[in-house]
Amino acid sequence: MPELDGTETHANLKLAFALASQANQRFVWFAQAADVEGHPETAALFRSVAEGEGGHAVDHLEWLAAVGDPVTGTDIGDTADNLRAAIAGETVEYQGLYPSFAQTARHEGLHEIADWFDTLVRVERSHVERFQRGLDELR
Amino acid sequence: MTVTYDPSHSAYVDEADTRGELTRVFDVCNECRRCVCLCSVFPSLFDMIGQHADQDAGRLTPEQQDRTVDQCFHCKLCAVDCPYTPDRHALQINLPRLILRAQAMRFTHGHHEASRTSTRVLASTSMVGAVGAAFSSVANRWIGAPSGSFRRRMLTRLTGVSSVRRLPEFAAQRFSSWLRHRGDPPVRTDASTQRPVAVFATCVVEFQLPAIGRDVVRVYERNGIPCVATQAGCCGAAWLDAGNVKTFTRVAATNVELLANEVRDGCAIVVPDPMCTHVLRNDYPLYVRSPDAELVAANTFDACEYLMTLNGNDGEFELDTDFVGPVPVRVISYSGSQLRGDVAGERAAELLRLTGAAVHTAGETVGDTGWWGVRAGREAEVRRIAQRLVDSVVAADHTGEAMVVSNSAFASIAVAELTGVLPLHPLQLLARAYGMAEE
Repeated sequence: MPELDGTETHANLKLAFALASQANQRFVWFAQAADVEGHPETAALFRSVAEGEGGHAVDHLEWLAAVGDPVTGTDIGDTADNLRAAIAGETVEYQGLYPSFAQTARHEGLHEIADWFDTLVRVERSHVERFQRGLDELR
Repeated sequence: MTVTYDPSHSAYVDEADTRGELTRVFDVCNECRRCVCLCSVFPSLFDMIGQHADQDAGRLTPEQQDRTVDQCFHCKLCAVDCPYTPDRHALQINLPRLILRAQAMRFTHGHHEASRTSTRVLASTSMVGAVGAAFSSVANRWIGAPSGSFRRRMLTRLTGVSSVRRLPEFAAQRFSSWLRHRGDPPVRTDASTQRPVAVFATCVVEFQLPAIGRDVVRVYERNGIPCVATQAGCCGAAWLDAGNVKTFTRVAATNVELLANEVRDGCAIVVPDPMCTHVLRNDYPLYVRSPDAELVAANTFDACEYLMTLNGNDGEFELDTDFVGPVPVRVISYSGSQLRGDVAGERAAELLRLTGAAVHTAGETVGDTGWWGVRAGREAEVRRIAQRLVDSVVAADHTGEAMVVSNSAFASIAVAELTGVLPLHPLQLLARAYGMAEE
């Protein structure tokens, strides 16, 4: 099979992975809303399809892994590489993304959302620390 | 630690086991943080865990765990969207039930304020309500005294009730007394007679806001549904929330016997408040563990939910839609949080849409502070939560002219303290829409 890296298919797979991951979570959220509204069968339908979408996302990642982590661009595959990719991703989140998002939300007067982003900064930093410990123990 | 929410389990009130389970669940909560905006439990918990570099919830002291548990006002919202509930995930987390387990553990081992007289008084709502209503003119001079006054502070010392909150006064006539003494109920003869209902009024409606109960009965009778007053007393929620499982189970068992008889006599049980509906449907079967408790749970409905359940049922019942009285153009409806986990839907909003009003819901992420919020020292949190509800209503009502209704008496009281206007119960709005003047 030709190389995937740099192809249009590579970009499509990354988009497909993002869409399937989002569909998985969107349908979980929809299921919870259906529960609250008293539609248990619809909730079960959403949950069932959410599982399927989660499976799609994993399958997309199987193809992408040959090129690298679609989020950080680093190597993934074996556990050490996966831990390094996780550390890289969470680091970007807690050092760059969430603080910036929090600042923007505060500037826009959306203080509750700003607080939400702020609380995630701390969690993502703890993830980095935990993944780093996991990597150290693996060596 | 043992994952159990069964009060009869041998490890249920074991201190080490319960604290181990709190650690397990607090670790998961700390990672997820989805509930951080719901109440003070979560920000406080995350701050305490965050003091430790390794973010290990196991480093919390028992006192810190207890402080977390004490901030819970039992609104049940954290279980509604939790990704880890027993029906959804192997982690089997039911935080509201774990909080109740922790309270029971603390009460059993004497770590809890529930041993104090004020908590016993606060939980004895049937007795306090009966005395307050019997001597309402005297009682109201105390409960109606200005916030922070000498009388209110004395009342706090005796009962634990907040000296600051503006609480409704005791009614001169109890709801059940009104229902029993009103003579032959004017049930519409042109409406097909439906299964009768026993109205489980709740303490607030029985002793302080009987107008809600009166309108529930009048709306039901308008629709051919005869109403009787239940013989059962207070649901006992305050005992359960304080960790006194033994007293709660005794109160629940007594009520189950009375309510089961009413069901066997042909009645459905209708409740105008979500907190007590939740207790009868979810807690009574778990703590009383009898076929009668299951019977009561299966036949207990929120007062709006019941009408909508009948309305959709094979065409045998159709709600009277002859609304000759005032119908607001826009309505914002807040449904008490304890019903969200019951998969009951927004039945109040559905019911009110039948009047022709444009009905929107609000406060889906705002918890009901209930009896917890009546206690002294909790005023700031009650005010903060009520403000969130008011903000949610304002966000839902772009015109600023909508009528606000709520099936939660406690939420309505808290909103009234902020805005000066007491939201109606949905069935009060319906009664006005039928052209029935307030009695």
